[in-house]
Amino acid sequence: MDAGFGSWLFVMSVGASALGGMLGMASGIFIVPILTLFGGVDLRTAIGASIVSVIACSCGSAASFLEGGLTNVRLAIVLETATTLGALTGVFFVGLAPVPFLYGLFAVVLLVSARQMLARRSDPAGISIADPPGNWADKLRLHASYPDHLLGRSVTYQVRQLPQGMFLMYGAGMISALLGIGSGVLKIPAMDTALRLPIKVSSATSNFMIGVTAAASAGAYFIRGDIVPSIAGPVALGSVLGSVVGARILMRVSNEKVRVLFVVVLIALAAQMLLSAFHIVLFGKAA
Amino acid sequence: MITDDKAVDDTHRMDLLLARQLRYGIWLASSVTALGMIVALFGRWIVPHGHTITLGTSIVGKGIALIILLPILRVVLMLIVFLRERNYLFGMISCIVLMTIGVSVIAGFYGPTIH
Repeated sequence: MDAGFGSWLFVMSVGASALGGMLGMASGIFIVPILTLFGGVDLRTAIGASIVSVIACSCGSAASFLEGGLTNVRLAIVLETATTLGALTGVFFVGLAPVPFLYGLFAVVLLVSARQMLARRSDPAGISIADPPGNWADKLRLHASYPDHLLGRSVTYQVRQLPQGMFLMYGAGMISALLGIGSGVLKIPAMDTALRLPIKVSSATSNFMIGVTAAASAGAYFIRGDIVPSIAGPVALGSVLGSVVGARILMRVSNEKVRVLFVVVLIALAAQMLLSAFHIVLFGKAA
Repeated sequence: MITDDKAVDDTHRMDLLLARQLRYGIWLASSVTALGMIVALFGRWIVPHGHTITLGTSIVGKGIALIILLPILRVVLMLIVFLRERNYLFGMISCIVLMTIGVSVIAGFYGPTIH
C-alpha cells in the first residue's frame, strides 16, 4: 500500500462524500470518475472500490432513517427481490460489456443526474391515481404511515403501481452493479412516478435498499478479486467519514448555491467520461 | 385498533433492531479497515523487517468483507423476525432476496470476465 496514494484516496473520498451528503446524494457517482480520470485507476477497479463505499455509506444513513420510523421495511424487501435480480444481471454483463460502453453509460447517468438536480421534486403522494382494489400492494399490506415532525402527527400513505415500480427497480439494480453506484437516478423516478411515496419515505426506503442491492454485486466482485483492498479500503473509510461531515454542513450552506455547483460538476465529469470513452475507442487502449 | 397499534409497534421494534445492527456493524467494519490501513502504513516503524504491508492489506480485505456482509446479515435478521412473527409470506420474500444474492456471488465466481 503506497502511503501517498492511500492518503490521496482517503482525503478525496472524504471530500466527495461530504459534498454528496450536502445534497443527500450518494458519493458513488463522483468516486468512479475521480478515480479513473484523476487517479489513473482502471475502470473495473474503480467500480469495485466505489460499490464498497456505497454500502458503507448506506449503512450509516439507513440506521438514522430507521430510527426516525421513515423506512417502509416491508416495501423495501419486496422491491429488493427486483433490485438484487437486476444486480445479478449486471454482474453477468459487466464482464462482457466493453470498457468504452461503461464510460459512455456513466456519462449518460451523470447527465440524467444533473437534469434531476435542476428539476425540483414535487411531493407525488398527493396526486391520486385510481388503482384497482385488490392490487399487489393491498395484498401484501404495504401501505403504512410515518411520523411527520412538522405536522406533529403520523401521516398515512398508499403504495401505488407496484409492478411498474418493481420494473424500474430492476433497472436500478442493474445500473448499480454495472457502474458501482447507488443508482438513485433510477430509484427516484421509480419511487415518485410509479409508487408515489411521500419524499421522506422514498429517500429512507431507497437508502435502505441500496446496501442490499450493492452487496449482491460487491459480493460477486469481491469473490472475483476485482476489489483491491489498498484502493477500496481508503475510499470506503473516507466516504463514511465524509458522509458524517456532509450531514452537518448541510444546515449551514445555502442549498441553491450547492445545487448550481453540483450541476456544473456533474456536466463537466460527464463530458470528461465521454471523452475517455472515445479516447479508448480511437487509440485502442482498452484497460 | 388494538391490533393495528400492535402491528405498528412490531414494525418499529424491527426498525430499531435493524438500525442497531447496521450502526454497530458499520462501526466494527470501519474500525477493522482503519486498523489494517494503520498497520500497512505505519507498521514498518515498529517492526522494520516484518511483512506489515501484506498483513495490513489482508486486514483491510477482512474489513471490506465485513462491510459487504452487513446488508446480507440485515436480510437474515429480517428473515428471522418474519419467521418468529409467523409471517411466512415475507419470510419467503426474504429467502428469495438471499438466494438471489447467493446466485449473484456464484455468478461472479464462474461468470464471464475480460481481463
